[in-house]
Amino acid sequence: MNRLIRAELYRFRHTGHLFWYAILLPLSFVFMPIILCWDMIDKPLDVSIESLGTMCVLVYNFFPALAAGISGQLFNKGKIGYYEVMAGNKPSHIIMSKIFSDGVFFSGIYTVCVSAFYIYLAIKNGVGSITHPFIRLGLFAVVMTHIVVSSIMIMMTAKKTVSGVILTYCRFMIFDIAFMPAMAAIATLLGLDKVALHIGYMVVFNQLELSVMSPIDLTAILHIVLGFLGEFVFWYIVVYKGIKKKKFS
Amino acid sequence: MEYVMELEGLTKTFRKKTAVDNFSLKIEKGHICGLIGPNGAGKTTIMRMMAALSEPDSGEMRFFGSTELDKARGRMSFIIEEPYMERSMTARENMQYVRYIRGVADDSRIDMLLDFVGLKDTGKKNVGKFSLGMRQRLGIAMSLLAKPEFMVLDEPINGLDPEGIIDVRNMLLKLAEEEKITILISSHILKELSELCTDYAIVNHGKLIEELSREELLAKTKTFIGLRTNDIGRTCTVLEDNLGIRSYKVSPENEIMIFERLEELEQISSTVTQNDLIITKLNVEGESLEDYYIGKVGDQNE
Repeated sequence: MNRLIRAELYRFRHTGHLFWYAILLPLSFVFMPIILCWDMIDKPLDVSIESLGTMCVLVYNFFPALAAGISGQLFNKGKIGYYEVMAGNKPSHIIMSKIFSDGVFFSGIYTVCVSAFYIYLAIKNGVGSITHPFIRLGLFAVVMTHIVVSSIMIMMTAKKTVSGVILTYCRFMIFDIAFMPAMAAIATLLGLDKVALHIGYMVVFNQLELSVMSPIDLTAILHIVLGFLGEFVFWYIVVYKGIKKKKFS
Repeated sequence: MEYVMELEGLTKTFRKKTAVDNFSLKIEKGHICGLIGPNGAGKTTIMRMMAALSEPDSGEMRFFGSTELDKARGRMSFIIEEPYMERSMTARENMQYVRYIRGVADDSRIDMLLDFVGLKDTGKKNVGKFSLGMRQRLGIAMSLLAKPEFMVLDEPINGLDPEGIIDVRNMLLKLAEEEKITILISSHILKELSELCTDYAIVNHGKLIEELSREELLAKTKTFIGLRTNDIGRTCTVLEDNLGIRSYKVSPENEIMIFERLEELEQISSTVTQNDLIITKLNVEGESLEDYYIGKVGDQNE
């Protein structure tokens, strides 16, 4: 698998302007909170996060991560795994090589870029009333990895770039914003409050908010970690079966 | 007999259309087998299944006598349809990428192969700016990178100019001869295949119509003796009276076409000359691979 990771990173590095786009996009998000929070530069972290509120969680964290996952796979579109399969590599090695190259690269760079300003504020002015800052940072990294890796794998299931992008947004927008809250609402109506709570925790938006703003407890940690692992396994099976069925354009 | 490839009862159906129907074929080590068939005959589907780009519905494949196909594919290389390459990368970068995937340790092989296919001087020119012929050459170089023992080439000379076609043909002949590489090749340019292949497999409607060696093809296409003399009328009399030949005709070009006793060239020659006739042409003529193929596939389609 090492040679596949090496090959993927080589291709990624040598794919011209897409490479720079992939680097510059996350870097641009370092400056977003600086511009929007400039008046908070001398305030503790809790105040700045409070002032940005949900916008900080959704727009500056969620969308870039999603875009990262998609752009990561734009390099591969057309014939994902074409040479890898013909060279006799196992589907599991092909999938994991993409995760350990594009997935690690994008989730790493996005986690660092979008949290850089907040880490700076926390070091300079203190965290204020925010508890467990390191656990929150770790959970935030898990959620970012969740979004990036899932979007990479969704892109790998689709034959065409456009259908991959549509599928990714359906997963994170329609499923998360409409379907899951609807399920939670139905569970509440049926008097299943605990089920509704668990469903609510499984929504990636809520997980982002949990990791940054809400109180941290074991249930939240388990939901974030298991949510990531569960979705990873699901998409892994889908992609694996796709490669086994040889869905190449 | 050592077989590099054995396909048995391979079948592939797309919705209701059977693209490959119970297809079986064996290729001996060191042979060059030409897969011939019209568009939609199933040639590419067969090759895609071999390359693991498509899953057969049924049937069995063995490479190098083994059913561990993924492992065996490490010893093979494929060019299926237009070889895929990253268009924003240079020829060398594409080679380097494939080198990592195939785990080829020797970096110097890249330059050697680029030189071999005549792309050494393309420098920083992106593959997107290459002509189709240049991309085909690069595809061949990429497929040779891992020193394959068996190459599967789907239309590798498509888009090449006549000089390029000759280059590729010579290159493949050299590979088969010097490195004992076994090759399965499909092409619409049957003249090229006839000069390249040791075996032929004719496919139509996903079925194997006929499998034959070059010798068998030559024997089957040896169809008449062409004879020209200084007196065609008297020659016909000699053929009938002295040799008892009845199955012949005279072409508009005044050539006698004899359709029997094809192995008795010497006897015909001596009898004709003994009767004071001067022979200006005498040889066994046959159909080309193209004629033979059209005859076969035409029969199938009727």
